[in-house]
Amino acid sequence: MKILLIEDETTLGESIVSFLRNEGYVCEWVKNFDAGREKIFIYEYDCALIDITIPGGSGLEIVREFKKSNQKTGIIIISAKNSLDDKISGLDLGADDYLTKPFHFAELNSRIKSVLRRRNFEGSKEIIFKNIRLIPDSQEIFVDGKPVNLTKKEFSLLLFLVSNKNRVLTKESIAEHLWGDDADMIDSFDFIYSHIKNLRKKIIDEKGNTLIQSVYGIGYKLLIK
Amino acid sequence: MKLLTKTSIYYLIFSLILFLIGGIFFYIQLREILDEEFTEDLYKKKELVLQYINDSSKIPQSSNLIGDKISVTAGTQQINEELKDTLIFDPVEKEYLQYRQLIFHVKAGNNINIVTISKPLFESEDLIDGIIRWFIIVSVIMLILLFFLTRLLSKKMWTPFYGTLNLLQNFDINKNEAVLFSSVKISEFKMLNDEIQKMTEKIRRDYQSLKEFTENASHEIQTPLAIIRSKIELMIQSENLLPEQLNSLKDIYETTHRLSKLNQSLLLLAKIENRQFPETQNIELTKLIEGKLSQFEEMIVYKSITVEKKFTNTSELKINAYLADILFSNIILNAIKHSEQCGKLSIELNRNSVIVTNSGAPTEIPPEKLFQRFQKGNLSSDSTGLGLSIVKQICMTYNFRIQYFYHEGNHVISIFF
Repeated sequence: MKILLIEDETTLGESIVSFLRNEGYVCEWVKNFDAGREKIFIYEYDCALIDITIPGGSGLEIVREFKKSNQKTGIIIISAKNSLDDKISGLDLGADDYLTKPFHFAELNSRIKSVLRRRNFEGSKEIIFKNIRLIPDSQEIFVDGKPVNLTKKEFSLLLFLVSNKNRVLTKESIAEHLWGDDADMIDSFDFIYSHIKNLRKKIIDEKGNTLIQSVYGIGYKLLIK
Repeated sequence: MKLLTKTSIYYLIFSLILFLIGGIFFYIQLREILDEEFTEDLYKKKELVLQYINDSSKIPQSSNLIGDKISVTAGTQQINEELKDTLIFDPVEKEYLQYRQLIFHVKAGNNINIVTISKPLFESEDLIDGIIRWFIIVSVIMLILLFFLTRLLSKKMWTPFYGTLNLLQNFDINKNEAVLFSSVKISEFKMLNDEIQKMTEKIRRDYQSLKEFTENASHEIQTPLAIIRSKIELMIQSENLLPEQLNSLKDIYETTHRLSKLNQSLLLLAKIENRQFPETQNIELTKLIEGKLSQFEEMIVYKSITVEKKFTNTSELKINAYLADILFSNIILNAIKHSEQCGKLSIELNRNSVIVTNSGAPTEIPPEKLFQRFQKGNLSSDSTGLGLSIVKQICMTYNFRIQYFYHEGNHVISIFF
């Protein structure tokens, strides 16, 4: 999977690139408008992460170019401009998603996977790990071949964990993923624990061990070795 | 009161006073002139009588014809010439009428004759009455004509002013459109328009730069925060961290998260204050509230809160969709947050109000300070203390009234549309 990152902030760009490479993506990174345009004329990408405020022009312009030259590329706009206008015009232009800085890498990862899943029609629409089979489109899950009943929230929590398997997901990023930015109004994330507890009971490996591990007050991770 | 009405009224009052003073002055002058004229006339008559006696050596007969009366009577002694006003009974009119009399004596040989010349004054009264009557009629006609003329002229003169006013009324800073005045010939109005043009330009520019500053500040602060956060997220993935290190990282992470939220909330407040959410649409409140309740269902279940809904109204509210979402998120989440375990949450939607009630311990914040920024019930809490300020700010934007009170173990927040 090939990803293009257009981001002018060096430190953030480095972090994103190193994160994406760790996740096994091939990642190219440019820092300005002209370089970005050049890339999309020459190469093809599965997904592009585009910052709106970049030197030399607007990221929205690049989204437009992308849509003209390569329909298949999934586009995620990343921007610190928490402005509704940009979001609407970005999505109008054909971007698949919009992520506001600062974002959790786990969230970015989950969004990229979701975009790739939606875009990649030829590929498998199932996610299989250990004894578990997940079908995101129909929100179905089979453990040891037997269907398991999950609530909508539990399913998205599982999908979020699966998208970021073997990575620690902070409570904050889980809360934001499931309940949106509003979740921060709540003082404690204790209720996430109750959610995880329910999910733990349902998602167990062949030996009856849990797959979801809690990490020292920070968060949780799905362990698939 | 309209400018035109006001000027018209002033104009009318001043003209009336002016005409009144003028009229009185005119009347007094007229009287004086006529009075002098009458006295002069009497003396002229006396000269005539004397001349007549001198020429004809005869004493004239008394005459009581129309106009001046002359009576001649025999006197016994010389008298001083006398001029006086008196009343004489008129047999025709059957009333006393005012006359001015000049009494003097004439010597004819040894005889002394007393001559009285009486001049009726009522003629002059009639004359004055007539003149004044016409004066008033002409004045009133002039007044009315002038009134309408000035009104017409004022209307014409003030037209550019009303044009300017109209343009200013339609001026919307959020629309980012320049105010364009049509050209005006009157220099004062031209100056006014030029000044307003300059001012609105400046306001628009300042507003624009403020907006840009707000967004740029967000950009500039969010990016470093994003970097800190992403670095921590990368670090915690490491397998070989000591528990103390992990604990420190957790604290740094949580603090950064809070800082980021705080920044976002403050920016949102600034944006609402700057009226940067001008678009409105009709929002179905029942749908919005139901949506929020299902969004936060897990938290409600976690706290075992009983939810009670009383929707007596299904009408829509004209509001910005984003702000409506935030408004209801914040009041409902606030109620969930401050609700006790196994508490009760009730949402009542009426024709022009929404009342959110939740059971819980009384707050330490005085109710009047509840909507102020950075007021937190629990100092150690992670909340930004801005949630209700944002609610308040949104309410202020739309002129909704918001109130809070605590009653019998219940927190009650009401918003009146």
